Amino acid sequence: MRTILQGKPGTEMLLLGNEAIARGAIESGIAVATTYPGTPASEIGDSIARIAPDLGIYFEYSVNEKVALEVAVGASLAGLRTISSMKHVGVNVASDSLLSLPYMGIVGGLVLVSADDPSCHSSQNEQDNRYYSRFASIPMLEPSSPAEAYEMVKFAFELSEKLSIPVLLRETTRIAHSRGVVKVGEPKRNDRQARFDRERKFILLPQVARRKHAELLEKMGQAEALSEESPFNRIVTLGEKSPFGIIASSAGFNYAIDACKELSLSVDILKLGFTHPLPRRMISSFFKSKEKVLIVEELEPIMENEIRALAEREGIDVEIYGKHSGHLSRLYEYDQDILSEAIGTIFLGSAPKRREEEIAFPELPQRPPVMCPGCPHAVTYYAVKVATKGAAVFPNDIGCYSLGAVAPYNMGDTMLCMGSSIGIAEGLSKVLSEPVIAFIGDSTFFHAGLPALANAVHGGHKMMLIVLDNSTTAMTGHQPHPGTNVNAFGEAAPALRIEKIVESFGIESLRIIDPYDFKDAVRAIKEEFEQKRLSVIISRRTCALLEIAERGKILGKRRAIDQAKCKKCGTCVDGLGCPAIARQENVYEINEILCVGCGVCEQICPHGAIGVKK
Amino acid sequence: MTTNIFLAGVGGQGILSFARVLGELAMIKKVNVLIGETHGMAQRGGSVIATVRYGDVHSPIIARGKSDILVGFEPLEAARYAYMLSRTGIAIVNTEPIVPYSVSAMRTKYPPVQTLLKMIHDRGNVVVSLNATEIAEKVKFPLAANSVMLGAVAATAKIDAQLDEFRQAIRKTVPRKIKENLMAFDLGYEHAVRIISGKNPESIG
Repeated sequence: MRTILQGKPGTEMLLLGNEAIARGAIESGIAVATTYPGTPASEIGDSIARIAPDLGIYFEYSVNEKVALEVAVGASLAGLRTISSMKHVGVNVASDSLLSLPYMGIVGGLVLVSADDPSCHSSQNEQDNRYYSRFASIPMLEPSSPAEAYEMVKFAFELSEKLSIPVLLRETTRIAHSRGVVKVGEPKRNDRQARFDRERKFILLPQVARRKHAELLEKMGQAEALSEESPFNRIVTLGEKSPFGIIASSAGFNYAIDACKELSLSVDILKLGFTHPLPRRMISSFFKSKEKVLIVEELEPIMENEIRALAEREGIDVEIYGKHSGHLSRLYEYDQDILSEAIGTIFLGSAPKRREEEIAFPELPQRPPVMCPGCPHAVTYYAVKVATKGAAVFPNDIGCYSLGAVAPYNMGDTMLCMGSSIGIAEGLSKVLSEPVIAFIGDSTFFHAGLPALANAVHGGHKMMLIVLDNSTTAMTGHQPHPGTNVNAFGEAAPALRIEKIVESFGIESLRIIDPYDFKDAVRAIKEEFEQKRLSVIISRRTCALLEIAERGKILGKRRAIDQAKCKKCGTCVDGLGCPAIARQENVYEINEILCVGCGVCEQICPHGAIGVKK
Repeated sequence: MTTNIFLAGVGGQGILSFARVLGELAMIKKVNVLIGETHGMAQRGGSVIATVRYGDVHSPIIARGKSDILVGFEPLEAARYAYMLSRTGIAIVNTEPIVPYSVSAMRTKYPPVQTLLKMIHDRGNVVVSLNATEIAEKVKFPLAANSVMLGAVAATAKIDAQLDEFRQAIRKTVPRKIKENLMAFDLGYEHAVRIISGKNPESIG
């Protein structure tokens, strides 16, 4: 398998943004790396996990992002370098620790990577985590390319140690999942001896915290001076001397420069990479030779607000364009087309024409993501549907199984954030007369479900919880979690049994079902459904993709439909919803490339029309 | 000089690996390359795209109507992204359909493959259609279908690289059955050259 270690020092590697971050970290002598997997951050942890044993790095997929950050903090307080990576909403989970951490301070360099997701490609919101740099008062770096991400992470460790505070490296999906050429250096083993200095107190008692806040603001003053000198903040000149300027960061810079080149525009682009604190002196001087300046940043007008305030304070008489002028949106990720239109309109008086406008296409069938053929979650949903006739309210949670919210299951009435299904189910069950059935995945159960389940017991909430246990964190690429019996390196690790936890909480009505044993699963759910008490059903069956990868072959014999026996009742398509079964003009067929041989369709066909493919 | 290649297909079809081969080609040629990938939920059987850009480019996203080559690993996905092609762009389309669950569930119709191909063709683009899986069966390794597609990409002559450089990129990135993949590459190349040069009566390009 290719790893980020393979590139020899001085050579060029074709790295994903996330791999570049991982490579930068292992060249900075990290001793500890932590994460909770989440798109678009996952490959940072995955890349480090593959090579951590070779470099003596301790790596873990932590139970959640808060613990991930705290494990990193612990190692940092002992003087070692650490990196903790997470998706944007994961930072919310870690935020309780994060917002006081800069007061407390750190010792070994600590870099927090936030992978934001404009356009919600794989997320429940498109929150802008650049706010966290302001909220927590920490320096922030924003790369525009894998090569820059690699350089920035190395600088981030230096910066963190210089100021004794964590540094936020904020990327977006388009940086995380872009592959580009990176010239790499030498991987470096941690050469520091871990030592915790008990004389230095890391205690935020109120009297200490008050003093620490003042110290933190001083550090941010120093950080601004460093931002003014940073090579990550620089002017890129296109064409002739021009009264036009653009200030851009992150992916926005890429779209802006590609658009300016397309339009052959002469312009100076102030490319900002060290974006908190902003280099205010540099920005003021950039404005001096300009008549019009466009500010390009995806999502919130954070730089724009601060730059407009700066312009007003300093009496700068330049037309400023961006979100407040209505030329750019606070919504979704940008692209070259969006920037060509804004830049063309502002600086040239007209936008370029696009070919798409010339030729309209008829509507084509959509292809949204679906649960995989053989997915045990899909089978569980169908079993619940059969057992309950769908007559309940179904709070759902975050994972592959979120897709249970759509047809044919329609068993997701709420889906908010990690672990929320249980708490919401408690509130609903307290006030509603109809039954409430919550779903949660195994990894999510450990991540944020445990406190909510404790609350359900103590609060006397009468609801059913179905734990969809596929023995992995499937959505993000099959990472282990505390319930699996292996760690990140595939070594044996203690597995926490969900049933033991549930029992220890004092929940008596606990059942474990195998969704592939369909009739039995339906019976168990039905019996419990009629009881109307706090109950937990663990639906346990390994993720089909993982099982196939581990076996090196499909689950069983492929199935086929006997057209003579098929009564076209639709149970397999409209009930089970296996995507390997296609219905075209009322003819049902199993796609032999997609079928993985789980055999569930054979069990649920009421007419015995499905059997092993001959 | 920039070259933009847009890859469209269904999660699980090996689109990211395909992009990696084109990335390796750039490393061999020592030209700048950017690849945009799709990870996460869309990979679960959804519509998946990837982009490969060579030359002086900063963003991996290709502007509308600026792709030199559209590689459609599935005909419906090829048609969905036909608007990405430039006027002179060439579409390489694998004709083997994967019916989306939505079509089955909503009792709608998967458009006839010929209709999908014609939609792209009617935009004025050359369409190289091929059943890559069937062609790959000739080398007794159906998983080499993407190497067939790569051969067709090479035949467009839109990428400034020699055939041997393509073959070298395959050797460097394909994990196993290199011989079969190289044979599949050649078959895809020959098939596409016939269509592009207009000698094949089946060509609709």
